[in-house]
Amino acid sequence: MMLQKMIIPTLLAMIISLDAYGQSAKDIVDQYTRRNALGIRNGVANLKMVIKDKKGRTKSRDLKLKVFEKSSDKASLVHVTKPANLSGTALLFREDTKKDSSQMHLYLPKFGKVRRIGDGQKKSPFVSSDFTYGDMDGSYFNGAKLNRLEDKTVSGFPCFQVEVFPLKTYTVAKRVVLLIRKDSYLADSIQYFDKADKVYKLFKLVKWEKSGEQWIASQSQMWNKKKNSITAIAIANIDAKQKLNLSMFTPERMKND
Amino acid sequence: MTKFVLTFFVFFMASAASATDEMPIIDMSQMVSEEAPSSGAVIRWQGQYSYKKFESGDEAEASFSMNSNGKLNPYMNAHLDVELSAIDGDSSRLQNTIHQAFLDNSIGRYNFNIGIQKIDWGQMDFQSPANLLAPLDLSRGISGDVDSQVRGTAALQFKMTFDGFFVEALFRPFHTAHLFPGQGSPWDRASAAISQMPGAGVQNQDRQYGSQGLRLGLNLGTLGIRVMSYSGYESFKINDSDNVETSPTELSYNALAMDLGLGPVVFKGEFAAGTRNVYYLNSLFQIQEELPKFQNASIALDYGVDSLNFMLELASSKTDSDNKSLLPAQGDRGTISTQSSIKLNNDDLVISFITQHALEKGEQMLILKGSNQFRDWLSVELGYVDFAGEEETLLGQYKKSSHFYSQLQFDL
Repeated sequence: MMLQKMIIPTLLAMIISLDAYGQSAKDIVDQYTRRNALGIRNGVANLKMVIKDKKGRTKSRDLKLKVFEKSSDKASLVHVTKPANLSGTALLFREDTKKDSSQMHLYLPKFGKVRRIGDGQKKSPFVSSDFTYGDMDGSYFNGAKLNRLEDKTVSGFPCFQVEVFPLKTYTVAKRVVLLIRKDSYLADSIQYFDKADKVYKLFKLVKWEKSGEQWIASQSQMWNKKKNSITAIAIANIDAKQKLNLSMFTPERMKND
Repeated sequence: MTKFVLTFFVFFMASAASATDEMPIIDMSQMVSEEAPSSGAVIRWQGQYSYKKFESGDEAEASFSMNSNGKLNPYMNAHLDVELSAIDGDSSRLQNTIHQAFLDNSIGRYNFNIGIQKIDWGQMDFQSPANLLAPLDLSRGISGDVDSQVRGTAALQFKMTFDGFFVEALFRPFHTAHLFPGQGSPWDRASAAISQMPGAGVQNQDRQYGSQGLRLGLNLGTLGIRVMSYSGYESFKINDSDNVETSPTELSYNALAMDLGLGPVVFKGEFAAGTRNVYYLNSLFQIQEELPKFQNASIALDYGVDSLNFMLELASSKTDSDNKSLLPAQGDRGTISTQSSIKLNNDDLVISFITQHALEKGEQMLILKGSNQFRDWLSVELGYVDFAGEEETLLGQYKKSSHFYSQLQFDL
């Protein structure tokens, strides 16, 4: 009887503790990065991007995004359709999650050739926005040290809190803190800290919805606090049923929309 | 009272902090249409005005171009890229050019392109041994853009893509000439020689000068390997109303190309070996031709970090001929080229410094340029292009064509 009295509370405590801490930071990040930054795992989406600078001037971009995942291979292909001066520009992101390696190719219609882009360029702006290539493909998780911090509830949504210490190859951020929603594994917010440990860039989920089986970030924003500029991305429509295969995500197919 | 002031102060500070930390939300409800942005046609109407100041005089060029991509059905796209330009300088002229006009069909892993299209089977920025098959448009000389001179050619391309592997076949029903400037242009040095070549005159497009190529590619993670074989013809044409062109001569080669990404560095290399026609002067000062073997090789590294990018390319071209080619581009040559650039202000402002030094005869080219994208529809570029070296060298022959330039580009 005495033993039962001791075992039951201990087991209960263990179960509660497993619920709260059963998932390691890596498990959470693995779940989060199974989809792209907008929550899309498979499908074709049309996106609208608006960039607002500190003077309030806006630029807009129309993008077509294809996303595909098969076992450890993840692939995204972005075609810029508007504005005219960027139309035809294509970016291909490939990642092998088993090898923790990623690669990126860029096609600029003006030069007519596909270029392999080194990891050092992951810090560069994506189509002149506040997102970098590394933000888009999540490559800053490659080789990063991960810590799970105390869970938080944001606007009624319970979130995992994960701290990332990325390799400097992929981002200028010294530290990144993500709040990942437990119900959808969408990032509710991402804080990017500079060398002085101040937030210089902030990602925020604005609108979300369930499309078929997947939760998607129907609108999200990146705020560059240093430049005081904001980039908003909204998903105009998504087709999760389109038949895709990895052969569509090769450098040779980048010219063909 | 003190408590009230303190509470007010704390409340005020907290509100101020939250105001500055609160991300303003952009209302996109009016901007996002359910219509697929990639459907229909995207048409780019573009105007460009450039002004070049040479030692010998000025040249102004105004051009108007239309670039359109239309989705005809889920599997087929149509591309049209045409330009009308007016040049006012030592050789004034009006010129219309069809850069590209082709249909692009993609079904699953198959892709099929037919029409006038730019072929680029190489990956190097300056000298691409693997892409000798592509005709070049050198009719406007050398200015800020050194790597966008490939000319459209009538072709049929068929591609089969698997993950990590592709096969591509190319067929050109007739040849397309390399285009050189008309006489009177600051870049006309080679044009005088072209008109003297054996068989030079107006050439008809002839099916006997068709060409074909085959390319196989492997993508193994961060390593890409391409193997290719090409057999066809090439010729040189002067871009004026007389349409003088050399008679097509054989060009056939096999090539190997690779690129490898290692962290922030990308290594690239190309090697080609084959036969190519060469024109030379014999001891009686008559122009003759022969078909020697050649070996061309280029290796490069591309290093990018943050907003800085640096590229170094070493290139060598050798022929088995003892005769000196009349066209310096076909002769033996070794070069070291670099391109350094910095991108600022979210990539809107780009400053670049480009150099090319040949290993002999002081031949070199330096380009310093800066461009700024003021709006999505407006950009300005300023630059200086300098050539040096002995007169008979590829770049040295243009030393009187060193120039300042400015260029205004706008979308309509």
